[in-house]
Amino acid sequence: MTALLDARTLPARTILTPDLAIIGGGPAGISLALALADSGHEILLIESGGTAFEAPTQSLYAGEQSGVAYTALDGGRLRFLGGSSNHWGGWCRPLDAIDFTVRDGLAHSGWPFSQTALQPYYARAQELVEAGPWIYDGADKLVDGDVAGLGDGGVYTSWFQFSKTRGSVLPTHFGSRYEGDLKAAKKIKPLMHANVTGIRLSKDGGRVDHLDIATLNAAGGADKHFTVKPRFCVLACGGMENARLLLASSDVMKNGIGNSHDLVGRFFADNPIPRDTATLVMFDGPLPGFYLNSSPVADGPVLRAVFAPTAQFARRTGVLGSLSTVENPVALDELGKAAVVATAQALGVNAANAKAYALGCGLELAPDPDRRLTLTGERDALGLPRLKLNMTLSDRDFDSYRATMKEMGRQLLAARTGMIRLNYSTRAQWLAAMDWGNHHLGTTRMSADARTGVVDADCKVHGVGNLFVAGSSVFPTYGASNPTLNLVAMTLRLADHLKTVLA
Amino acid sequence: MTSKILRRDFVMGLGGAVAVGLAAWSYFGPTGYPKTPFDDLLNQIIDRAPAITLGKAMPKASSTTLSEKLRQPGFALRKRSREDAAAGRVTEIKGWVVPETLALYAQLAAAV
Repeated sequence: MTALLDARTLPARTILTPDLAIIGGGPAGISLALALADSGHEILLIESGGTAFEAPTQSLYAGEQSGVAYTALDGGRLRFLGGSSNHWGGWCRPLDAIDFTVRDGLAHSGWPFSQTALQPYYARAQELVEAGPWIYDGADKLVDGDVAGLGDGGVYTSWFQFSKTRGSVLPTHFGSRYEGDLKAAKKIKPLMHANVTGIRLSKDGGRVDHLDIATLNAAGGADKHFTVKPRFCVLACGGMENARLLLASSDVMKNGIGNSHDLVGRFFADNPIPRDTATLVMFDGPLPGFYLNSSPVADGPVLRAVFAPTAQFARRTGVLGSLSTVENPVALDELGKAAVVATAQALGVNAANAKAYALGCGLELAPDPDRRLTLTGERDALGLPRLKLNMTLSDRDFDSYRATMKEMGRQLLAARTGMIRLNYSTRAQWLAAMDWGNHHLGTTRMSADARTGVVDADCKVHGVGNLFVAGSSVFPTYGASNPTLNLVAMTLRLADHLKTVLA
Repeated sequence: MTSKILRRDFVMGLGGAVAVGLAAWSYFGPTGYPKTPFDDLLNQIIDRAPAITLGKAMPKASSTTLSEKLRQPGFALRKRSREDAAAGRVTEIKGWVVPETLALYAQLAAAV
């Protein structure tokens, strides 16, 4: 069994020559390394941190912000083995077919392939995230209780599955969970405490020649420098850091690698999770528990029901993706009570047992080139320029969700099962309720056309023959589903491609 | 003697109560609300208090204009409210999504 190799123990100016260098030991990097473990190729998995949180390493993430208030750049991600899976909530759901399509009225939308291209990889991805059997929208038949009676319309009950979580069991932390597998794989060399500070291209810019690596000393400053000269290289260090390394590696390509069309760092996205967005009233009493909590099915997966727009409704109205969760029971104010009584009486239904709930949600944002990461003049302890994020939220993002919730309210009335209050109508209200999924998406977007994407459909950086990107930074449109399951599936697809190019 | 006085007082008291009751009935009608020219509409509301609360959360409107609209054929509260959502006729009152017809009736209830 190979031990984790600590870069700080290597002699300065060491040169490592793997077949494949994977930069980043998060869910994407680990999944990729394990998928290629038996390919016969030497794989170097380069991780900035160790196996636990270390403040000096984490501080390399710090950066500046402008625009809409957002999580601090060193606050929403983790820089040690397992990456941000060390603090994820385990929410898993595949992207919807519509998420891959070019959508009318949604500029910059569409992937260069359809959902079917990812389907072969979801089963293995589901195993890696340990979310149990693949159930998702077949869960209606498994759970104890009926889904909410929404009737026909644009919103339906959809399902999340959860990575492991049962009681006090945490979701899969890829570092601790797969550390043993990484050590056991003869062809994988996990290199800890190794920070990539530059991707150096050949003079013609057509290939990665080598990677500059640096370690931190005990005082948090630069220590040793050495070199990795891989045949192929995969950037897998998250939606922010992937862009940072490409932009900062500007010695040959003056605008940064893959940035001939000024796209690297643009189109940053997250899934906003505003709180208490709507009040749901069910006339006939409490909703089943699977709406309010992650609920284990006997000997099966852990499930939670959410409300989602149908693809047909989304196409017809142009609404973006959203997944609304039932958060907690709430008491109604006088107007709320009056609305429920008056409405129930007008519809001729009994609301004596009516129950009200606060809804939360995860939203899809419209792609926005001005929501972007750029480099600042400030440098971190290893000399790498720090990032600045300009965060935006458009009124369309809010209006879209309101339209979905209003449709759900209409359905409930038509079905005479309940009603809805839309809690926010102004931008200020939305922003005051805002929280974030800390899902970093879109900054090295994928497109078959180099003018509209940083990477191609195989996740190869346009114009650079041996440089690939893994992770949700390649998502050109985002969906509302949490990205981990999907980025792992994408990574497994990349692994299949790399098996052919490495051969 | 005492019993005769009591009987007379009782009869007079009862008569007075009946008179007050008749007067109240004549003023308020069976709903407990003062009679209005719009009772043909308002009496379709089972419990007027919540409707008034809801209506007061809406912009003020002319009861005459509202009643003219609601007296059109097909605007019966229960029937049309049930049909509204299926027909896409919903509106918001301080965020509450309700049938448009109910909103009009609530607005009328608050206006009189």
